[in-house]
Amino acid sequence: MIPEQLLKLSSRAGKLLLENGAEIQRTEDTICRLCEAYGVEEASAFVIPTGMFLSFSYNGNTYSKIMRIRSSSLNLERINLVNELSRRCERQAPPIEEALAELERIAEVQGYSRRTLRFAGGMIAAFFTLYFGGGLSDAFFTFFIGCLTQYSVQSFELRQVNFIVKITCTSVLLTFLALILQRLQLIHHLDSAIIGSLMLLVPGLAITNAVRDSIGGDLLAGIIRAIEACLIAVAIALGAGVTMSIWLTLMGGA
Amino acid sequence: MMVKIISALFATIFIAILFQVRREHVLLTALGGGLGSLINELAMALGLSSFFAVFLASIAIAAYSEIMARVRKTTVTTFLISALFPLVPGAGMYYTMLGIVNNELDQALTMGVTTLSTAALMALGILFVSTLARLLFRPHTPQKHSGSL
Repeated sequence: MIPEQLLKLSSRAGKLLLENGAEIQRTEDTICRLCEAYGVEEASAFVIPTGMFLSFSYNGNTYSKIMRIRSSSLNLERINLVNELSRRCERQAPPIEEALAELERIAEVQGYSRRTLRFAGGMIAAFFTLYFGGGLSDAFFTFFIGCLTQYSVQSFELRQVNFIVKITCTSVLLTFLALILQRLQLIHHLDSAIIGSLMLLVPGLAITNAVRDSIGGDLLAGIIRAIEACLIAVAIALGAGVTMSIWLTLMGGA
Repeated sequence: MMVKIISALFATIFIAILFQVRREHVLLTALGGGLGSLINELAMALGLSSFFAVFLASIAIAAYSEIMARVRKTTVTTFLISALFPLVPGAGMYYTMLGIVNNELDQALTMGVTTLSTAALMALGILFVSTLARLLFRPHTPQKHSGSL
């Protein structure tokens, strides 16, 4: 076995997990499990949401690597596939080249198409409008707002725009649309419509995960996620708040 | 109440799609989301506080996800993340920051504390279930590198 190859394999697996939104604990466990499956000693990993350090020793030499993680989005299927691979390696380790090729294949896995995701965004917005007390016609129109919201998020992500800018602009867009639709008498419960569409952006999961990481002992990761969640919430509120106050000033009371 | 449960169930279907859950698991995930919402609403209807209701609901979702993950041989996260989404205090987070932006600090503080406690209770519920599952399903494997739980 070539230790450099193993270093590549385990760091690639860890990066793939983190970039697709896996928990810290799972990422650390997977890296160590992969290393130990190939019979090295003292495998250890230190992972935070923005990067990771891993090292192990083999034949008296110590090998280590640092990885910086920049973007992350949620793709549960890839997490699942990497997890399956690491369990398989634990039971019976395949040649490292094979495992690396498998990882590359996982990184390329395309799930649902962008169009399906936009449709899903619309449906999420519509059902959350109902959930927060909107009527059927509100839900029907927030469907379109949701589709557009998702479209906007996708196009910003394609151009790799800073996440604060992305979220502020999207939140301006969706608040503006909701206000126009309300002015046209198509939406009657403005609050439910706005909150329903905002559910696509809102960092509720991030804040829950932050607390989860902190309670689980990954304090640093918890703090990083909490700061991220707060920044996202500020961006959303800024977009929505500014749009609302400008609209109220220009067009009078809602 | 029925509207809430059903819309949570359907919303979870599409959340699962948004998070790229595999097709055959999408409906199972949605059942988890519906279950969580059902428990939440039932607990509230019985007069429990909204915090306790969320705590119970997240325990139910976490338990459901642990069981389903073992039945379907996949990760717990697959079911957990999407099913939790309707309960997650996203709106609270938004209202907190909106309060700050609009200079209504009292309201922001109230909402902020509520949001944080809800998130903490959900995280605690999940942690209890996952610790229990680990104790039940892997009683004799010495954990070499488990975190301090």
